[in-house]
Amino acid sequence: MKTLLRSSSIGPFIAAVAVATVWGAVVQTQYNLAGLSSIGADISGGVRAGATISDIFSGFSPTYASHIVLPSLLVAFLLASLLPVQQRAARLLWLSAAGALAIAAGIPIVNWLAPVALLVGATRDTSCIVVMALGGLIAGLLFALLTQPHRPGERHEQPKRMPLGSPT
Amino acid sequence: MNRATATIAMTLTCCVTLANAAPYNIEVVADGLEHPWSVAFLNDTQMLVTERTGQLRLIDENGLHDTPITGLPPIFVSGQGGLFEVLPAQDYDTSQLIYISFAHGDKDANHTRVIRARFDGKQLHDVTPIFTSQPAKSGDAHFGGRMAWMSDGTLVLGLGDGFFFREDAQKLDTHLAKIIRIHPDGTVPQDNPFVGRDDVLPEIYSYGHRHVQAVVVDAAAGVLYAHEHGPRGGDELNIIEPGRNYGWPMISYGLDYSRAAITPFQELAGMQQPLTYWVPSIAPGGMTLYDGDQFPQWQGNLFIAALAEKSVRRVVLGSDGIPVEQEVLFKDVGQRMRDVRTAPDGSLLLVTDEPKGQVLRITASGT
Repeated sequence: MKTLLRSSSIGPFIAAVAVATVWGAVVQTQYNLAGLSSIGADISGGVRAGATISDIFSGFSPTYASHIVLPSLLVAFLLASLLPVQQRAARLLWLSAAGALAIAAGIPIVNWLAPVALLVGATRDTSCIVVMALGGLIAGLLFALLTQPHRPGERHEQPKRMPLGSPT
Repeated sequence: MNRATATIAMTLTCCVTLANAAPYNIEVVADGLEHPWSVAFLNDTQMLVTERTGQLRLIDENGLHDTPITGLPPIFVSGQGGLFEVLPAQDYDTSQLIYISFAHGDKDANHTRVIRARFDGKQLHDVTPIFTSQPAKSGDAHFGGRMAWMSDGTLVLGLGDGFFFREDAQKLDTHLAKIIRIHPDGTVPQDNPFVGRDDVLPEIYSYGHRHVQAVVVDAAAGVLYAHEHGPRGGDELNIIEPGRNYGWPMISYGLDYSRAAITPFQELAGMQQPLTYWVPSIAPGGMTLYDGDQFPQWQGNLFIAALAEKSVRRVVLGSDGIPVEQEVLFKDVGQRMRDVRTAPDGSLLLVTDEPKGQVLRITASGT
């Protein structure tokens, strides 16, 4: 798991944060809209799409990424790197679980630390936290795949160029 | 110095001169109060002040009495919960009755309660609950608690949505996020807008509020003003009419604290638009309609204490009761403003929401 600490992990980590953030944005929007529907709001497909896109690309994503996703996944993946997990399947499973648990714990912790009653209003419903945490699972899976160490014996080096006419 | 520079310099000088020529003085009436929440005059010289942490205090010519008034019932003090408003009866001079709102219960099950009690100058007697919001809610946020007397002698009380129950603002079988109207003995006026409907709590006067933080009656015009906290932006000032829906959370000009949209709608049919709204939030507190003599230029203006802005907003109303202009006052005090009241002598009283909060008196220069 030391591969997680390489500089080449930065790109996969950013990708993991982005995936979990977009997932969370989409999920919390649907919960908010479901709440409005439950009291009679008519949420058309266009309204739903507009609200979802707005939450992804406007204020929610930066707040969610910076306050919850990034610190949670960073801690989770660093802790995960401490365990000597070598097998590919176990590594995928372990990082996925770490990602999911990180978001599942990060949301209530930040909600609790926030000076307001809840930072993410949609997480008034605990099931929203669970579904948002699936984004952490996907993020962990993605990160595991993108930082997959090479198996011993695997040839990844480029074949050496041989001068034309040289003996083979 | 060229002409443009000279003009700018003169303009700045005039602005500074005007700023320094504030037509008022600020004096400290009381300090060292634990998050004072509201102040009410019993007569020309005595006033009661509540501390959110659960004490009711008397202020008179000698200043703040050291010993809190005894006789209050148990109060749930947590988060935004605690002791809220004190309001003398309209016939206090003869009845000695006062009305007090507070959080009642515990963190798992609490209500906003109003009691009526007789005050003998030192302690409360005959404490009687006249209203308890239903159903119980959990948490310690958004209780409301502001009260006012209507011209017809009924009592209105503003309530909050408990933060976690925003959808209840649109449900009429709960008091959450409503303004309710009752008689002074707690009974329901038969002309309340929903009386007679089995599926509606009869005390409800208006609904679709988020967290009502002030109710003020303009008796001469027959208008009830109320304001409420929005989330991140979207604080609203409204004229309250019976039976009307003020929209929360279906319509709002605010965002969730995470900056997510709470609703995609800012206007919907059948829902009232605010007279004005504030983005970003000023977090309004108490409010008074100034009718004193010390500041003739301010008569008929609404004054709104602002917690987040640490100011008082002076809102100039047009002839139709619609805000036409606002001025930010008293920012130099540098404290969260929880309440503002018109005193019998025409001065303004400010209450600051701090661990060692103050009651301040604003008097006209030269008085």
